[in-house]
Amino acid sequence: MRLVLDLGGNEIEFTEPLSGSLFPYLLEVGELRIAARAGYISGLGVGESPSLAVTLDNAGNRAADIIGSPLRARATVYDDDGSTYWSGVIAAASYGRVIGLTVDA
Amino acid sequence: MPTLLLYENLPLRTSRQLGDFAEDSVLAVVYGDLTAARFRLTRISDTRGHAADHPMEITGAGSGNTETLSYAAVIEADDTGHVCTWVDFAAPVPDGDVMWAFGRGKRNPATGALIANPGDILTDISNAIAGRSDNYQTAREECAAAGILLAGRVSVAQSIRATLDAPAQSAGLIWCPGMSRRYPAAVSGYVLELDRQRASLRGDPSASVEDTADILRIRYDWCDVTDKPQRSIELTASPQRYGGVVQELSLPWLRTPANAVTVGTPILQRLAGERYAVSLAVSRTDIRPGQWLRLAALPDWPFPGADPTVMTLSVTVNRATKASEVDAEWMRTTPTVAVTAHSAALDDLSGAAIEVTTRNGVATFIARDENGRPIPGARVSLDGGEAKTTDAQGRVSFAYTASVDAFGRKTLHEIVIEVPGHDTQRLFIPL
Repeated sequence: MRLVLDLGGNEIEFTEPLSGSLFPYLLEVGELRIAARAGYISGLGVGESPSLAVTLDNAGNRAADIIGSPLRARATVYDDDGSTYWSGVIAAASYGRVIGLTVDA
Repeated sequence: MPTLLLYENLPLRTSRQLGDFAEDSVLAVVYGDLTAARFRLTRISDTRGHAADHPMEITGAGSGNTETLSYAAVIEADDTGHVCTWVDFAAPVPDGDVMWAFGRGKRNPATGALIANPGDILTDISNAIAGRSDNYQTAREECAAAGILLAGRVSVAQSIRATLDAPAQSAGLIWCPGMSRRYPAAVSGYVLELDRQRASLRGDPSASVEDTADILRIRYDWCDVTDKPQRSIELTASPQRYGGVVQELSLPWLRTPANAVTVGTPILQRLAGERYAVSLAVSRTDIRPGQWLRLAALPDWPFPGADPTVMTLSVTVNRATKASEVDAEWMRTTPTVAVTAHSAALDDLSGAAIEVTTRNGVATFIARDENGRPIPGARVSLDGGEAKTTDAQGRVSFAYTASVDAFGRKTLHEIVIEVPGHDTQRLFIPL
């Protein structure tokens, strides 16, 4: 898996540990829930918005220094085979030992 | 333009941005053919109304209860350089009278074609207005094959998601970002085969009475000025599995009886059919809503002999376990559906209407006034035949021969209704 952030035209890539890439790493890709919506099917997908949580290693504040405030940046998570796993916009970010990003549709 | 999220408001312009205005309201985007359904104009001055925040064709205009020929449709840029469509009236429109028009909406800037296919409308709202990059190709293809066209206005300040819901629902579509298709519908396109190594049932398939009905009444062809439907249709399933329960549905962007039948039939087949919720655990991460799955090789599938193709409606993907939880729906049997009644307003102002019911090859028409009382003396003809006059109950009947076209759709029959005090109406109704 790898995460690509489009920060004002500059693409920054984060990959998982042991993938041969540089620190800081993409630590975790959370559960992805997507529901179809249909007004004529009761309750289906109502109120849900597809969203994916990803976590970056922020040891030494390195990831925070790189991405700054990424709110509204486009984010794409690619699967190991290179296919797009999820694409959206950074809707929330939390900063600490790790950085948690929420990628919403 | 930043990419907006589905739960954020669609960035429509408002009349405040025009500088000179009498109403403070959202400037509309118009889609499809509204030449037979009036839509509101935003009053800019006593003689000028704003029709659309883009170029469009105006085919008629009026105010209050009166259509006028004394108007000019103008396509020109506002003070900010944004090109809009305006209607200039020759005489001042009194305060309190609604300005309205008929016309054809936005066109594809590349092809010049009217944007009326539901997949095109969803894509245009998402991309041209909201600045997203979603493509609703499957909906486009499926609706084109079924001949489904929509018409309506985007004129409310609400979320992108709620805005997309309206045309999607009117076309009988399910959707999530970048995916939309007709559902329920016959299994078509790519079907993923799941075997026992890849999938297992989580619990038994289950059925419930939630969301079931045997009769579906659809109100459609909405008039934007009166905020009322101009037509309705009643569809009845056979066999009736749920005791004749009736469900009503408003599909305001639908405009024609033929489209109402095309969209309503599979919706009623789902409501009235034998339907099961199916939950699966699948050891893959690429399944998404809108995907057909065939469960033929699952040993614990409890309905041997029936085609076990299910539609994925929601999915939860866990990358750590490389597995997904899938909620799907399976239609074991679907009933046949017949049109049992049509109703159409004689005009969108008075509330008078004609109702058509069919039984055993006989179509019965009942003309009613705005208070629901029968109208005797109305003249009705079917397919250019001799006109008959409605009796004291407002009723007249014709024998007809049901037939279908090359696509299996019921043939349209022309009905002409002349009611004293109303314009002659010509309706095309599938019988």
